[in-house]
Amino acid sequence: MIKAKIPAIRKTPVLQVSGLSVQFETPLGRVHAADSVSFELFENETLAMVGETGCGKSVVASAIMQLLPQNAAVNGDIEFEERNLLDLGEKEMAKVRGAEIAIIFQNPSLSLNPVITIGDQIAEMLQVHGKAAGRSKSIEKAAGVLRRLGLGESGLLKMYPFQFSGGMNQRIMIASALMLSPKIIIADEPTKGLDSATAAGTVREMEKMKDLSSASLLLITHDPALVEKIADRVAVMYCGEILEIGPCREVFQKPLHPYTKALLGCLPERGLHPISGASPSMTDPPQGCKFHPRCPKRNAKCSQSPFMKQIETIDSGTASGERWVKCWLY
Amino acid sequence: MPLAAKKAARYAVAFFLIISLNFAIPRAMPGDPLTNLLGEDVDAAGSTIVELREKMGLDQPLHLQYLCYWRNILCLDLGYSYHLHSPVSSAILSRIRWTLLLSVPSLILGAAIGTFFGALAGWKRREAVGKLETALVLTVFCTPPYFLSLLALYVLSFYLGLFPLKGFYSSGSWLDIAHHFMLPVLVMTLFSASRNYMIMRGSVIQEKASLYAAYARAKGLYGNQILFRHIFKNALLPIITLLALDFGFILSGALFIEIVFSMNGMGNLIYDALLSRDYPVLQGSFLIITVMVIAANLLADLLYSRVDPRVRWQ
Amino acid sequence: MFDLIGALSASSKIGLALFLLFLLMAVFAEAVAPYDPWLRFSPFMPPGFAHLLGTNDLGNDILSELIFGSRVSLIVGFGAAIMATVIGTVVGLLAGYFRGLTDELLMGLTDVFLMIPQIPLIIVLAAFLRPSFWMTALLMGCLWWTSTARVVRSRALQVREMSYVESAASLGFSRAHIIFTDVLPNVLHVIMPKFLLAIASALIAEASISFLGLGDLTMKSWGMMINFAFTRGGFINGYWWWYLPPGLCVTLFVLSVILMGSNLEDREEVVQVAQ
Repeated sequence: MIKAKIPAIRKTPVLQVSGLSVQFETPLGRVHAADSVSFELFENETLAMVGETGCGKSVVASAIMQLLPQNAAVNGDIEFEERNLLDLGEKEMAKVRGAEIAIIFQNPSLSLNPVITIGDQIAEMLQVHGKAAGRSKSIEKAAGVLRRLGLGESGLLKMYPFQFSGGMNQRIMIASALMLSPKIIIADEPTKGLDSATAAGTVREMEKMKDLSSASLLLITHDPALVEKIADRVAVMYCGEILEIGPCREVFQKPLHPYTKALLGCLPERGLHPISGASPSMTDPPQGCKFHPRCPKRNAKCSQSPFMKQIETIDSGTASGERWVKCWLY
Repeated sequence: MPLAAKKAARYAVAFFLIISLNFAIPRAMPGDPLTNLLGEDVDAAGSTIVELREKMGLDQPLHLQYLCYWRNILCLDLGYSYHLHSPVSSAILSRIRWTLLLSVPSLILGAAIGTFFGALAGWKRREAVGKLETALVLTVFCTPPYFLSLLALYVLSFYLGLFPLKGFYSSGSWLDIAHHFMLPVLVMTLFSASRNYMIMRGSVIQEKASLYAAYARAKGLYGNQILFRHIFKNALLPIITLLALDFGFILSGALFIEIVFSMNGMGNLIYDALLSRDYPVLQGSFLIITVMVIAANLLADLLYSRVDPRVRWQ
Repeated sequence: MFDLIGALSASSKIGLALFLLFLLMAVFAEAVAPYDPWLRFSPFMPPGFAHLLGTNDLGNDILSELIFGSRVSLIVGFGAAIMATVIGTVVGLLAGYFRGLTDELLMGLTDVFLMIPQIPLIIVLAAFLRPSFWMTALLMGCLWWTSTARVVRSRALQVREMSYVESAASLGFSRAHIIFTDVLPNVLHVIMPKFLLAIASALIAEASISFLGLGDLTMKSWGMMINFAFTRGGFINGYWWWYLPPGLCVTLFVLSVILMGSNLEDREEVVQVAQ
C-alpha cells in the first residue's frame, strides 16, 4: 500500500493494520482469506467493513483479536498502542481482549454460556481483568451498564441466557463489551439473519452503544442500511482485499470502484441488479485484480495487481476524509 | 405426558420389573422349583419336602404365589437361607454396610479425581505428557477390577508388605480398620476414577468446540480460566446421569474387589452363595443391589434437574 | 482398503494390530501353541525354556492354555456382540422408523434395561443354568443391545426424513421393505463401533464370571485360568505366571477393541463402553 504524504494535521490512528494476510491450510488447498489488507481506525469513529459473505471481513476482525483457528497463517502488522498485536503471546493478548479491544460475536444466544447467570457473565469482565472489588460490586456495575442499555428490570441478572430473546442477548453482549471501556469495539455482523424489525432494534442498540462509549467501532456487516445509519467511513472488501475505502456518504453516492458500484446496484432500492459471473475460488483466485473477470470496465492492465491510490480528500484534509481506491481506472 | 411423569413411570416400571423378574427366575429355571427357591444345600426327607412345598406356596396357583411374593417383599422378607441358617434379609443387612463403606468413599473420591484430571486432559489434548497419562488411564479402564485388585494385592501386600492381606480388621481399632480398607479403597478409587476420567475428557473435548468457549476467550479469559469458569460445568452436567448409570457397573466391580481382598461384604456373601448354590441369598442380593442402583439413578436424575438451570426453569 | 487403514488414527492402528494378533492367535492356536493345553507335564514349574510361562498345578503348559484361551474369549465376545447388535438394531430400527408410541415404549424399555446391573444378573442366571459358553454369549447379548438400539434409533430417525425414503413410501413399497433396503444400509456405519464395544464388554464380563467359577468348565478361558490361580493356591504362593499372563491378555484385548472401535472424544460413546 502506498501511503500518502502525511499532512501536518493528520490524527494518529487508534489501530493501524498494514499488509495483513491470512491463509488457511485446508484439505482442499490453501485458502487466501485476506490479502494485504491495510486500513486505519481513528478515535471515536465508526468504520464499517462491507462485502459479500466470505470476502474475509470476519477473518480480519478475528485476526485483530488473534482468535483465528490453529491452521491459520497470519502475516502483517497490526499496530495498537505502539505494539504489534500479532507479536503478542496468548497471555499478553488475553489482557488486551475485552479490556482494550472488545468483540461482539455474531450469534449472541449461542455465544453466552447457557448455565451461568447473565449477571455473572457480564461481571466476569471485571473479575478476569483484575478490576473487580468483589463479586457483588462487579455485579452492581454490570447492573448499571445494563440499565443504561434499557434492561433495568430487577432480577434480570439472576436469569440465564436461554430465558431471553436473541435481541436481549445481544444487549447483554454489548453490555459486556462496554464494561471495561475499551478503546475499540468490534461488532461482527450484528444484524445477520435477523428480520427487519429485529434488525432495526439492533441498529438502535448500536446507536445507543455509541452514545454510551467513546470507543472506536469496527463494524463488520453486509447490511448497507446499518452502515448508512451509524458508520462514518466504509471499507469495501472483495475476495480478501479492500477495494475502496472512504467516508460513507461519498462512497455510497459516488462509488469509485466498479465493484462498489455493482454491489450497490444489488440493493432492492437500486434495482436488484445481480453481479454477473461467479464468486472467485478462494484457493485459486484470479491473477491481478481479483474482480476483473467480472468487471464491465476491465482492460488488459487488470491482470496485474493494482495498488491503493488516494483519490481525493474531503473535509479539509483530516485523515478520515480521505478516499482510497484500488483500481487501474484511477 | 409431561417429562417428570414419564420419568417417574420409567422408575416405577423398573422397580416393578426387577421384582417380578426375581419372582420369575427360580420358577422359570430348569430343575425343581423347590430347590431353586431354597438352595441346593437343603437336605430333607419326604414329608418335610411336602411341608416345605406348602410353606413356599408351590402348591398354589401362580398368580396367588405372585401376590404372596409381593406381600413378602413389602414386609422385607426375602426368604430363608438354609446354608447360612438365617433369613436372607438379615444376612444381607449385616454385610451391606461393609460394601457401602468400601464403595461410597471410593465413588466420591473417584468421581472428584476422575472428573478433575479428565477435564484437564480434555483441555490440554495435544501435549505428549497428556497423551501418556490418557494411555495409562485407558489401560486401567480396560483392566477387569478383580485383576487390578490381584495385582495390587500381590505387589503392595505380598511383596512389599505395606498392607494387610485379608479381612477387615485384626484388632478392631479404627486405625486398624482404616489400614485394612486402604488398599481396596485405593483400587476401587482407581477403577472409578479411570471411568470418570475418560468420560469427562470426552465431554470437555466436545465442549471445547462450542461458541461460548470461543467467546470466553474473546473476553480475555486465558488458559485454565476458560476451562474452570465455563467449560467444566457444561461438560459435567450431561454426564451426571451417565455417571449414575455407571454406578451399577462400579458397584459390581466392588463385589469382585471384596472377593479378592477377602472382605466380609456382599461380594463374599455372593461368592459363598455361588459355591453352595444358595439361591435365596443370590436372588436377594441381586434384588437389593438392583434396587440400590435404580434408587441411585433416581437420585441422580433429581439432582440433575436441580442443577441444570435449563431444566429447572422449564 | 489400504488407504482406509491409513486414514485411521495412530491409536486405532495400534488397536487394529493388537486385535489382529489375538485373532490370529485364536484361529491358528494349534499351530502357534507349543503344546496341547490338556497335556500334563511336571507341575508347578516356573517359567523356563521348555515352558515359557511355566506349568500350573496339573502340569498343563500355561502358554498353550493362554493361546487356546483366546479362542474362548473371542467366541464369547463375538457371539455376545452379534446377539446384542442384532437385537439392538431391530429395536432401534423399529423405534426410529415407527416413532410415536412404539418409540416411547421401546426407549422406555431400553432405559429400564440400562439401569439393571448386568454382571449381577448374569451371575444369578449363570448360577441357575450352569451355562456353556454359548449360553453365556446369549445371556450377554440379551443385555447389551441397549446402546446399539439408541444409536440405531437416532440414525433411523435422521434417515427416515430423507427424501428417498419418503419417495419410496409414496411409491407404495411396504414398510418392511423400506426399513431393510433403505434405512438399514445407512445405519450400518454407526453399528460398527457399537459392535466392537459390545465385544469389549463381553470380554470383561466373561472374564469376570469365569473368575467366579461360573464359566464353561470344558474350556479354559482366560478368566478360568485366573480363577484356578486364585482357588488353587497360585496366588497365595506367589505363582504370578498363573494369573498375570491371562489377566494381561484380557486387558490388552479389551484395549485393542476399544482403541479400534471408539471415538474416545465423544462423551456418549465413552460411557457406553464396558456397560
